[in-house]
Amino acid sequence: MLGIILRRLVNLVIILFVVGTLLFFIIRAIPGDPAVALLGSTAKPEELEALRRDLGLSGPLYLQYLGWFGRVLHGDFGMSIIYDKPVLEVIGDHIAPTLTIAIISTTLSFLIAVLITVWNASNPRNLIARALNQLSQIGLALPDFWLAVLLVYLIALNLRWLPTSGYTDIWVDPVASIRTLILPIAVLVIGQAASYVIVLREGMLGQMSQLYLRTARVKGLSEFGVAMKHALPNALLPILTIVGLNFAGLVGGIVILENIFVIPGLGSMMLGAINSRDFLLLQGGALFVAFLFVVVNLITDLTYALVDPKVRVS
Amino acid sequence: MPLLELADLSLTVLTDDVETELVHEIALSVAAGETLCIVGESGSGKTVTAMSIIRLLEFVAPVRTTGGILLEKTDITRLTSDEMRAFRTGRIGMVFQEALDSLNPTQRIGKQLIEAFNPLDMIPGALRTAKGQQAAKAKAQSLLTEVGLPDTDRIMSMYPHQLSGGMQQRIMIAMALMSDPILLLADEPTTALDVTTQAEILQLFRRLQRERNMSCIFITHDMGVAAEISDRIAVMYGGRLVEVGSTRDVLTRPHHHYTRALLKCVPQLGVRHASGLASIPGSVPSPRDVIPGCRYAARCPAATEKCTTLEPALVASLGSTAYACWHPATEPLDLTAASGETDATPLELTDRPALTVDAVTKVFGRRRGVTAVNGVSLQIAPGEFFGLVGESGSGKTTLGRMIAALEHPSSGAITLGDHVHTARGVSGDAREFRRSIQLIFQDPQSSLDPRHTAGRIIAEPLRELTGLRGAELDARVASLIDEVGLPAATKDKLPSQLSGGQRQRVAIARAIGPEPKLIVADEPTSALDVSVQGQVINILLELRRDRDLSFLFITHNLSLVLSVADRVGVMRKGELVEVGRPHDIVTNSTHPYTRQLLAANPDLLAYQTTNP
Repeated sequence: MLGIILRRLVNLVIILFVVGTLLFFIIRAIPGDPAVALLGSTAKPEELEALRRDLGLSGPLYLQYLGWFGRVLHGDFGMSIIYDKPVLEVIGDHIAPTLTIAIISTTLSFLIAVLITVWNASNPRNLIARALNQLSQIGLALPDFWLAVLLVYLIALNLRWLPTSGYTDIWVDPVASIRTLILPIAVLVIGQAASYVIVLREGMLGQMSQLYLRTARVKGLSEFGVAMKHALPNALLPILTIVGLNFAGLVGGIVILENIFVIPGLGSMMLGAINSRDFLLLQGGALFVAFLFVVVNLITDLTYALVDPKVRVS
Repeated sequence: MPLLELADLSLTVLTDDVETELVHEIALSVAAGETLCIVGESGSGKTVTAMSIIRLLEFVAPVRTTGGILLEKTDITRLTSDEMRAFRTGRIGMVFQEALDSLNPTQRIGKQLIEAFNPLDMIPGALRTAKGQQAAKAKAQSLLTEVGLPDTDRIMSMYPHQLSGGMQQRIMIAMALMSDPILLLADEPTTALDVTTQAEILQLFRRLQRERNMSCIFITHDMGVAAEISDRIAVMYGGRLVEVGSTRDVLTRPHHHYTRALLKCVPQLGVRHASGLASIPGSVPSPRDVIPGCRYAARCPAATEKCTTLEPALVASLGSTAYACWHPATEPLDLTAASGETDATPLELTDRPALTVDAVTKVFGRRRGVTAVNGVSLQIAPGEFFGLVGESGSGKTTLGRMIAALEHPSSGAITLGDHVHTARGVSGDAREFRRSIQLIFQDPQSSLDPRHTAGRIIAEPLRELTGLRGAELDARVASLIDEVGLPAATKDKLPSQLSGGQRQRVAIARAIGPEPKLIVADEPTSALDVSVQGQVINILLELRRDRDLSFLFITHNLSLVLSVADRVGVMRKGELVEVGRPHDIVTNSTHPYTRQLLAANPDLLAYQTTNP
């Protein structure tokens, strides 16, 4: 177990190095000068040059790269131009909304998918269960931005049940926070739960023909018990990877939803950084997202080892 | 009053809008404390019958039941599935063939045993209380001790894959007994086990059944197992009950020609069949075939016109048996009829053996290496049929794979013709080597590409290894198909359209195509019914006579290999412990392990001689 963690940590360092390097050069290839973006096109060349020096953007590219990398190794990601704060602090300010939405929507989607699948497996001929299964296909097919706009239009604008947009920290004002979170989370849950249902149903169907379920039936378990106690734990194994990847994906990229609902999360931060050529914030943000991806994957693998005795014991 | 009664039970399944009658009007009863063996080949309906008694069939396919299944006067076919669930636990326990697959891979043994604790006098939900858990745990511990696993705490904290096959089956037996059933169903519980383990498990069954005065329905395809375990035997064929009676009468004086033929097909210890085994021509009819008369008529030597038009009903004989046959045999069955043959004169090994294995060792894994084969040396003469027996893990398959160069030896050398195979690989031309040795695998179902026709399968090695092309190739494939006794139309059939025996014939035709000097056959008949096993073995024996072909025949079936092989080698834990001629091995084997194998081997002939 310890060996796995150590090996993964080494991998983590390598991945971050590669991602950081690639990002540095790709970002530099974006047309547009941050100094011009900041001072406007009427600024004098000397002013621009001075600002570039301040930002660490003057001199040959490889020197800029080495300088940036050296500072990152010391934990200094530089200053964000648009926020005028250290990059790490800016990321810290934007992480809460994104993480809140990602954690709540992933957990909800997972639970809903498990409920639907178990119910479906123990009542294969039930009409509602079958209808829910069919709905999951539709849920997967709906584009999330379209669904978001539709929900805002119907529920926020027409019915006026919920605010159209905004974000309140959940620890500051829970009620207001939940009211603003319902719509974006609903949009995410519909898509995610649908995809989990589809994968989980495959797994459950595969398990339901396994011979140890026959044993469970001989023991006198009800069909619900058979599905819940025996089929589900084994069917969950393959879905863990998908849940992990989905979660990491959410943390890094709900840009469109954050835009529609005006949520100050990581997605909006990154979009702003790209628009204003805030290179250092962009590099720091992308590195952070890469870091999250690897960590979530590591957690998924460790969970596998915990859930599957064959991985753990042998 | 019998404990269980099947009253004209018929079972019909519905698949893709087609109704198929799997079992037709079975009338059987089991008394309290009695063991009934249901014997039959694949497709006989024996497993389906057992599954219907515990009502598990309806979970697999929509099934229609007519007639009744009465257990303690309750007709279980009339219960709703909820009623059945309550009725089943505490009354019926079941043990399956595939012990590992029947246990949940991600749950500890203890939890799985405790879950099965549901005796009739228990208050519903009591298992959720601490007291109920304690009672269940105590029960599990005492049962584990009873089935021969006294290290209960350790076993209960283990996962199924950490146990051996024999231990897994003991767990399954303990689990079936957790609620003290009055009826135990066992579906081929020892088929996947080695003979020595099988003997132990059979003994365990017998003991538990006597101590608990439990009724037992034991399903098997192995007449030897039936002889050891049963009080009565029911023989099924094509969904019909063809003969039923006391074990002694069925095994010594069977009336139905199918029962007699089936018994004759079973190889007996000490009875030589070097010129060929008994077999039943043809194959088992499919349940979908509409046959007006007796379903066995097409394969029966005594069949008359009446047999093909009118189906016989079960009638009682003068003895304890009942049979469904128009022309019953009356004389006792003599299983030694084919004997009198002795071992062939030993083949000359000195001049130029077909195969020489010299001190070959195989170690798997680098750091903590497992020695699968340890310093084995043997020679096979041209035209010799060499049988290699051993239990699972003895290294017999690894040795076969090294001889076929699918695996390189860690040390030692294997010489086949001009080729020497060592740790560094095979010397000489690789194609020429492949042409001189071919393989036949155990399971023709999975070793033949399901998307290739039989003709393409047989042609493939010919195209790869010989210069044959076009019309010449087609002609060669046609002659090979004919040589293994298949109709010419087989060429265009897919493996799924062939029966097990036919598939194995295709595998044989593919193997002999490149005209090898040696064929390594790894358990080629263990997936086949015993009536078909003889057909396949006879083809191999015939090929050897016609082509001067050598065979390395790997098997766990001691009786089989002793009755047909020229010489037999016994492997144990990677070592070749004994090599000898069959007669010498049966009568005066020197090695204790061989004696142990011989003693564990279920033996019909011994039953007949002790129960005349």
